[in-house]
Parts: sequence; structure tokens; C-alpha cells
Amino acid sequence: VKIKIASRLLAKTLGRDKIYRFLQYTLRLLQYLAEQNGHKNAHVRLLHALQQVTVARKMIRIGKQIEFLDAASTILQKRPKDPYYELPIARYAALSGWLCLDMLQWLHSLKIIQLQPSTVLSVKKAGWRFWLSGIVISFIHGLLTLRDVEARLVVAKHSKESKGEIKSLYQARFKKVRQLVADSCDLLIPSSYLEMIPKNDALVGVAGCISSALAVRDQIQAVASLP
Amino acid sequence: MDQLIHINTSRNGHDKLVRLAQYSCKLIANWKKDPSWILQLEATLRLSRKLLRFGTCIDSLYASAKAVGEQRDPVLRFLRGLSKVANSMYLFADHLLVLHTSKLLDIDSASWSKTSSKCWLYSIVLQLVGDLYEINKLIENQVHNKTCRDIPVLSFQGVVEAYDPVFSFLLQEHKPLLRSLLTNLFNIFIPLATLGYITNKSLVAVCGVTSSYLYLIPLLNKQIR
Repeated sequence: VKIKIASRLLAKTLGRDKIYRFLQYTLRLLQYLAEQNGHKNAHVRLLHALQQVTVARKMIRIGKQIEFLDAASTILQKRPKDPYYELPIARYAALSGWLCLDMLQWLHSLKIIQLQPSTVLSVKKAGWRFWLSGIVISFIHGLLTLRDVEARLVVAKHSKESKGEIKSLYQARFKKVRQLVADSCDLLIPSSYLEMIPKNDALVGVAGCISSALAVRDQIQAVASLP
Repeated sequence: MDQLIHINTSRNGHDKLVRLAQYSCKLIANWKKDPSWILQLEATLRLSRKLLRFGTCIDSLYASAKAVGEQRDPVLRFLRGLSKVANSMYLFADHLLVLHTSKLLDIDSASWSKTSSKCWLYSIVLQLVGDLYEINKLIENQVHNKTCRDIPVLSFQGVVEAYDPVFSFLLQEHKPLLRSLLTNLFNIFIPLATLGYITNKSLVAVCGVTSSYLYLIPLLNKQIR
């Protein structure tokens, strides 16, 4: 059964991307520790491996910006019951912008397009800002929906709803809290790159590992629940 | 666009799209005077495909057990199963090369690269033999049974039926088998080129593009359905 779940997880681009993300931030943390402890050989090897995994993730993400825009347009058309549906639309737009700018940098690195060094830096910083905006919007959306779930839970307890209904509300609350933890960790990464907080590879590595591990767990649960 | 998005969400679909781009780059590089950036892009796409399929040797080994279980014919069971085993050996050698490129492992990359190409070639040859055996069996059954099929005369199928009823039968009833045969026929040139038996780069690139497109057809058709 475990092989089946692993096979299903790895058969999806999203599942692979989350695993490679976890690997990427683990390698970042390890290469920082190797550098700090004076293991030059290990540091060089880990840095090289990190670059390979980064390239692989960029390739996996090709076309993702179109997926995000498609998802945003679907929400706009369907107008779901979520009272804060504008926030996911804004989030998808921000993440799509980040990925477009990331792709520009990648095309420049392959010398397909030529950009001035100052332009490359501006594109990088703009990309990180888009990424940070996307995470902040997701965090705010998470807080607002958590508040609603908490309110529904209080009402459900007072009106003596069925145990099943209360259990599902507790599960929804747990999911929201887990998402908020992942977003809080993710906030540290672009903030560190933009020097809003002191730049620290160890902090970025740990934060990335935690949020990636939570994402992989979500993907495993989603895949395991399939028939 | 929806089709492409959906194909892109699966690892297999994404891999086939990147494969098409990779061999297209190879084809364009043969025509360009200064192909340096295209070759760099092709190398990046090739590396990313290797990283994307990391771990699939276990999938292939699992699929070999499944292939043996599904087939009734002992010859097909042997050929399909052995082909999957050869494929998993090719992927295992490929994974070792990825670890070597990432400087996490020190191996004799030239030797393992040759082993990987040989295993891939064996896998394709076994698949080809299996496809030809299966087609031969189907033709024998069709000639023996000679079932009458209701096909409109004034259609492409009707014309093919008039010229070659056996080919028409295969085209109508066993398209996936024909597609597999064609894909393997085009794919066989690629490991032969890697092993140095074929030196025509344009031929290899054309075969790569064609086989990648043949891989994408069933994925696109799934979406259309």
C-alpha cells in the first residue's frame, strides 16, 4: 500500500515538486552547516546538488503560472460560497507574477534573452515581492477563514450539533492552523531574500523544510484518499 | 489550453512535453549556425527530465510484475516482463548518473552511460519483438476467423479496407498496438546513436520529435474524450 501511495504521489508533478522542495531546503541547510563547520568538500558537493535540484524545480514549474491564472479565472466565474473569494484570486495572480519573473531570470541565465545586470536584480527583487505578497494574502485568507470556522464551532457546540459535524469542524480548524504554520514559515523565505529580516541561510533552510514537510504530508493525504 | 494544463499536472505528461521540447531543440540546433544557446537549453531540458524521473526504476520494476501477471500468452509474458526489467535497469543506471552529475556519488560515468544506453536498447528491442509477435497473432486470428465488418465504403477506413483488410482491421481495432510499434521503431535510433552506431544527428532528432508526439497522442485523446 505504501509503494502504491508513493507511486501515486510521484506520478503527479505537484507531488514531485513538494518532495524536491523539501530536498532543496534540506540541502540548503546542510550546505550552510558544512560551510560553517569548515567542511569545504561537503559544502561544494551539497551546493552543486542544490543547484541541480533548483534547476529541476524550475523545469517542473514551467506552465504553472498559466495553471494559477486558470484557477483564478475559474474562481471568478464560479463565485464560490467563500465570502473572501477575492483573496485566492489575488494570491494566484501574485504567484503567477512571481513565476513569470522567475522564468525571465532563467531565460537570461540560458542566454536566450539578454538583460542588463541592474535589470536582472530588479526582476529578482520584483519576483520576491510578488512571492511575498502571495504568501501574505494566503496568510490573511487563512486567518479570516479560521475565525469563521471557530465561530461555527462555538455555535455548533452550543446548539448541540451531531458529533460528526463538530468533528469535521475540528478537522477543518486543524487544517487551517496547519496552513497558517506553513505560511508563517514561508513568509521568512522571501523576507530573508529581500533583507526585511537578517539574511540567514539556516533560518531559510529550516523554514523551508517545515513548510515543505507539511505540504508533502498534505499531498500524501490527498493521494491516499483516492480510490 | 485546458488539455495542456491537465497533461502538465501529471509527471508522465510533463515529461513527454519536455521530451518534445528537448528533441525539437536538438533538431533546430542542427540547422542553426550558432547553436550554443539552443544546445544549452537542450542540456538543461535533458538534465531536468533525468531529475524528474528520479525514482521511477521502482515503478518500472513494479510494472514488470504487473505485465507478467496480466498477459496470458507465455511468450508475451516473457517479452513484456523482460522489457520492463531492462527499462528499470536503464532507469537505475540513469539515476546513478544523476547522482554523479550532482556530485553526490563518484562512479565511472562513461561506463554507466554505456550500460544505461544498452539497457534502454534491449528494452526497446524486446518491446518491438513483443509488438510484432502480437500483431502476427492478431493477423493469424483475423485470417482464420474472417469476420465481416460494417465499414462505410466512401471513407478513409473503407479505402484502406479495400486495399488491405488486415491493416484496416489493425487500424480500427488495435490502434494502441500500432502506435506502440511505431513509437518503438522511432525510439530505437536514439540509443543506437548514443552507442555510436548512428552518427546522423538530424535523423535522431526527427525520430525523437516523432516518438514524443506519438507518446502525447493518447494523453491528448484522453482529454478530448
